[in-house]
Amino acid sequence: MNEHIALTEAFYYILLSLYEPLHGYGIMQKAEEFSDGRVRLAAGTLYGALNTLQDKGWIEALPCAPGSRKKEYRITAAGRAAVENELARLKELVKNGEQVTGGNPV
Amino acid sequence: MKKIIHRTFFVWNFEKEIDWLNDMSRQGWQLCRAGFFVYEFEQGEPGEYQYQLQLLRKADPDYLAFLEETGIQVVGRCLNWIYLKKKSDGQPFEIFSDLEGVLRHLDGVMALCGVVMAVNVLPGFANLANSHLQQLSWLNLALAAVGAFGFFKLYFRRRALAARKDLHR
Repeated sequence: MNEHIALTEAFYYILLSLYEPLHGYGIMQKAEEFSDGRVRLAAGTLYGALNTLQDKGWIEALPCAPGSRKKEYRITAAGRAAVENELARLKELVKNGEQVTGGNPV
Repeated sequence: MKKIIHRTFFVWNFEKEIDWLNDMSRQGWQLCRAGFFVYEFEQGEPGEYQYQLQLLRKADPDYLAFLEETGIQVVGRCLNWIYLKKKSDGQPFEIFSDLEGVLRHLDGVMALCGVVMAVNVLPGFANLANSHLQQLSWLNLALAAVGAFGFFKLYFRRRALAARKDLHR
């Protein structure tokens, strides 16, 4: 996991919401809940993001329940590593930001 | 009660088409079928649904199933354009919440205009000299001009939108 490219908010919250298995609509609700309604994922965007994350191996689709067409997704070990990398990066940003602006001391 | 309306929208004005469908919805007319220049509405609750239009790049049944799962219904289809509706929930109805998605969708519409231009421009000029095919040739050239017009309209819209991207990564 040597990817040090910042995750977009959408990718970050999709990954976070998939620490427990969820289907598409559940991910939208969770991202909205995490961000107090600020991050609203539209269906086309979410669908594209889910495909990208699956291609990267950061999330996986779970087998559908019998009689249901709703696909559930879950984060993989590689996905967790990406979230942890991102978290470290964000902490660094916040730490430096607060040090320079004299915000709350870390 | 149902009503059928014939109306023309150019592909580069698809957002105007969406605005019109939402306007019809506010007046209590909900779209139930769409085709070439024809729209069928049925009377329902004013503002009950919001509408969107999307140009699909490929047939992907999984995508349509995914839309349904998130409360979006496909009400009509015209070639690769799908007409979508969603129950109004006080929030704007968008297909893409990211700028990249909006830009990629515009690229698809631009490509469509480009194809219309490309397939018409050659036969248009080639047949111009042939007196039997001259009328057809003018039709080809007119279609090529329409395609080119749409392409450049979308190109400038896309460029203005993309300029916003750099600061907001």
